Amino acid sequence: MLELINVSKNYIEGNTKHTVLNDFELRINEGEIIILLGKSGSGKSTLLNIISGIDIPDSGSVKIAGTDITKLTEKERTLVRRHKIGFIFQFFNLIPTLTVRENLQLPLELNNDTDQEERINSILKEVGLPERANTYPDKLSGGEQQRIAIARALIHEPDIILADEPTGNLDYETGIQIVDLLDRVVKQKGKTMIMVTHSKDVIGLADRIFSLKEDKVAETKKESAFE
Amino acid sequence: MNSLARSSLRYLFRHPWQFGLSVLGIAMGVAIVVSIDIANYSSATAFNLSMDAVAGKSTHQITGTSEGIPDSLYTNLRIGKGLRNIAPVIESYVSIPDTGREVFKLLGVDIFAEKPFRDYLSQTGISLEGGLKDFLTRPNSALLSEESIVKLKKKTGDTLSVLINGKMKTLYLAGLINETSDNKSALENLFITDIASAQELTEKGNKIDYIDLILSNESDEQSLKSILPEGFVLQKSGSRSETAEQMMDAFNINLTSLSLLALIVGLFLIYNTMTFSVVQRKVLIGTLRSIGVTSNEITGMIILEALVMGIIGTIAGFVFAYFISKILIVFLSQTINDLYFVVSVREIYISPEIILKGIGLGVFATLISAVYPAREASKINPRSAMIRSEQESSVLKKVPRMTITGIAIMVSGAIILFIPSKNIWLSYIGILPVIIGFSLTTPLMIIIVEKVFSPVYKKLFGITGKMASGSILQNISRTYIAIAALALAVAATVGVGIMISSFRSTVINWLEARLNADIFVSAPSLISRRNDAVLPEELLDKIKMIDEVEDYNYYRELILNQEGKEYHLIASGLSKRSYPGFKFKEGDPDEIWNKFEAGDVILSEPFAFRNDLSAGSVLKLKTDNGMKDFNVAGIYYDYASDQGLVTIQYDQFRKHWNAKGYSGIAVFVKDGIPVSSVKDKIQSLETNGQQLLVRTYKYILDSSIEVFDRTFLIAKVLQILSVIVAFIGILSSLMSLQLERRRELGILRANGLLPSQLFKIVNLQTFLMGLTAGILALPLGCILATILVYIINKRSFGWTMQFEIMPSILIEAMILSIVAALLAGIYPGYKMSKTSPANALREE
Repeated sequence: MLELINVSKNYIEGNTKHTVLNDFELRINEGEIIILLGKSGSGKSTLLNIISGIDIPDSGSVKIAGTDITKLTEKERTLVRRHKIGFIFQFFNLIPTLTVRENLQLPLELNNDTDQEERINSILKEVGLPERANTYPDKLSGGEQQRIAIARALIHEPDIILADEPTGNLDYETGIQIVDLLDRVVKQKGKTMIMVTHSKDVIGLADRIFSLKEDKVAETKKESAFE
Repeated sequence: MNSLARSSLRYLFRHPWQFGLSVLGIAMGVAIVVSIDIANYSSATAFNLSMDAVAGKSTHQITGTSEGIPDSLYTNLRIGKGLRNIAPVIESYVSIPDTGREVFKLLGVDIFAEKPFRDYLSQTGISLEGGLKDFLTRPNSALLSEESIVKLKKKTGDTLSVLINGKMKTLYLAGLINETSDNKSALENLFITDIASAQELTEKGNKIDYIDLILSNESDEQSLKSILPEGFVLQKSGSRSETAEQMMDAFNINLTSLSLLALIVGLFLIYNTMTFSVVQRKVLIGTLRSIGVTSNEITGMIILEALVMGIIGTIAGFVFAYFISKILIVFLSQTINDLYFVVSVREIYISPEIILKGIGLGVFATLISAVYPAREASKINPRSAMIRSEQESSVLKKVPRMTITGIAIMVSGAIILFIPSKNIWLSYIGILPVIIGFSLTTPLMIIIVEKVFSPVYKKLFGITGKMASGSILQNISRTYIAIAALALAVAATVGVGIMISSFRSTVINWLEARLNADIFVSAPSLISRRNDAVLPEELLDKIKMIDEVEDYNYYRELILNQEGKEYHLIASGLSKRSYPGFKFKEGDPDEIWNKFEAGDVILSEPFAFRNDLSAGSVLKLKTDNGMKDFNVAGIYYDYASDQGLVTIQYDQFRKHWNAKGYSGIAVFVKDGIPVSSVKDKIQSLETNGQQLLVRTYKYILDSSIEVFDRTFLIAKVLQILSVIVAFIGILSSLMSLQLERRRELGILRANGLLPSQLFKIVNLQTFLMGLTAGILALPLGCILATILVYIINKRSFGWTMQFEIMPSILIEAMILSIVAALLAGIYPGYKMSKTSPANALREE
């Protein structure tokens, strides 16, 4: 499903070169949920950006369903993102000028999907917010915003969900609710998800856990993930 | 409408202040340009309509020598040569003292010859009080429209006192011309008299001004040309309108230049608005890019916003233009009457070209100025868009490159400006890179000002002061745009201000040098800058007889219509003491004066410029004895006429032209004699009813400056409107900037800052931004002034001006910059200080 082969990424700051990823290798199967752990600056977000085609590696290849996205143009990478990837951000990043319904409509429109109404109503039920369809994001609580963000990431049925610290900006209880929701909707739909997190509560979701440390990646057991 | 477009448009409407001010900025930019066009077009149309109405259906005109056309030539052509479609005309202007000197046109015609030309003047188109015989035989009988007679509060059979060529005459209102929708504009402010009455009223003796003809083919034209005596010219009827248009061209170009400067400011503000809205939405755009919106779709989104703003702004601009043009028409027609010809503009006319230009500027210019911000938006990296500090550090990193690019762009602008050409548009193309280049140096200036003022602010205002100055640099991606926009707006006012003051002081210096006599005598004229009325020759003899008169100058002004152009010829009888008042561009003055006395002409700088002449060139002039070559002895600086003047020695003039009388006489009073006593003596001379304007040096100087100031009143109005456009832009930028900092300021409130301290921080910051903009605006303003003075005015009029920077203009500009910035900060400052920190923090 998703293959990262010998991926390296460096950043130059002044005269210093920072290596974020060094010959990084990762193979993820369809329907797998992967959790990436690591300290700030360890390269977790960079990895998500590279997988989504927002950023490109200095070397190596990233294959999504057999297509090496590093060989694609910027526009082609955007279209891969549009069709195959759903993004969930730490700060929700809903479009403030669109209502909840319209926020969900946007990915469908971008994908030229037709049965929009039905799918919006259905996913709103799934995330438990059918009554908030016509509300603007600034009237929602943080937890509600993240539920809608999850719905937005899933509504166009992408193959891969990328979640960048989805509970990082939420209180404990709301965070738990969001994890439950992800567990329910992502697993249920059999989607592949790669999640960056610092939260222990998310571990239960994972099929595999990887820890990023000093530009290397190592698979970790659930029990020792936060040791 | 798709979700992206809906989101984009809602963004506009969710920021009503920002959106409204941007639209207002575009609307004002469009309004200024369109209103100037409407004012120009309305004036030209009013003039052309009156010319066309007077010209009627005539295809050609015969014009005469400096004395006019003897009516015998008309009789000869009509009877001797059998021409039927031919009519004599005398055309003059009269003013009516009882109505506050309202100006009417006086047209002397032969009613019996009129039908083919102006059928409304034929016998069927008029209603006479006492019958045709009475009209033809009673001296000074005049016809007018019903509307005119009502306006004058008269009725048929009444008499009316009018001033013609400086003499009071009495018209007998013999009847009415029937008004129809076709002749309405022609009849506005018009008196019709029989040709004999017109000759008497204008004291033209047996002369007429021109002969109207209808010629159906080229061969008729050629055969008529062959039989005309020397000095008489057959020309097409439209030539006079064309000449008037040519006359106004340079003046219009200058007005257009000012309106374009306002437009450049407006465009820059639109660019800023769009850039600002992109910068503000980097996170949003980053999110959209993350979820799969392509860069082209982002470009389209920003362009769509620009289109909406452009359309609404353009519509509003046309509405504003309608009202502004009404004011401009008053100033413009005053200036045209002062400088060029008599025109009365009563209606607003608008052409399809003006509408297209307005739409082009409002919609397409807005779209063009949105292209770069839209491209920038499309390039937003979704990864770094989420991190604000990266945006700021990227601008800071770009500063050296921006500065170098800015300087390079300015140099390219300078190269364009220095291309030796008379093309005015090239100047505008050159100004744009100068402005853009200068704006790119703004971040460097912000860094310098911050470095200088940060310690000062900290010392004066403590930590809040340091925060205020520091936040300008911290938010440089936003602050530099607002500061650049303010700097440009202020620079435009500095540029125009210095240009006007330089021009003014040049003209005053020139007037002081040139007007070296004590008393000036002329006949009342309806055009300030042109003496169309003539003083009798005996007057000079009488003035010479006054004991206290030490010396005198005299001149005769004549307008030569040749080759579709109007040349102003000045025949000068100059006393040698007046020679130093003329400054020549080059050459030995003594040598030039010797040649002048021997029959060469000297040319004013604008005339030489317009006609590509220089000392040593040969100029062909239409004399009463046909075309003749005159050598050009020298070129002198002169600001009396933008059309330019040809000056010839008076006695030499009389060898070639028969025109008698003087347009003006200047008198030098003996030392120790009070000027007022000589003035009174001249005033009391017997002049056979000729009214005299006897004025002192001071009066002439003051009234000339008054005309100058009146001419530039329209420029001042435009300057004020430009400032309004700029202020709207600044208000928009600064308000957005401050309102966008809600969260940051909320954090400060949460950390214990009082509302008053917050208000202070915002205002300290805007003060510093205003100061930075002011510091930038002064050099840019001087650069713009240099371009206006040395390039645009030179290319429009050919005038060499002194460049003078008045400190008061610079001080005013600095105050304007700071006050505009402070005013723009007051509302957001107040709003921030009143906002609950919880709300401010909640909003992400």
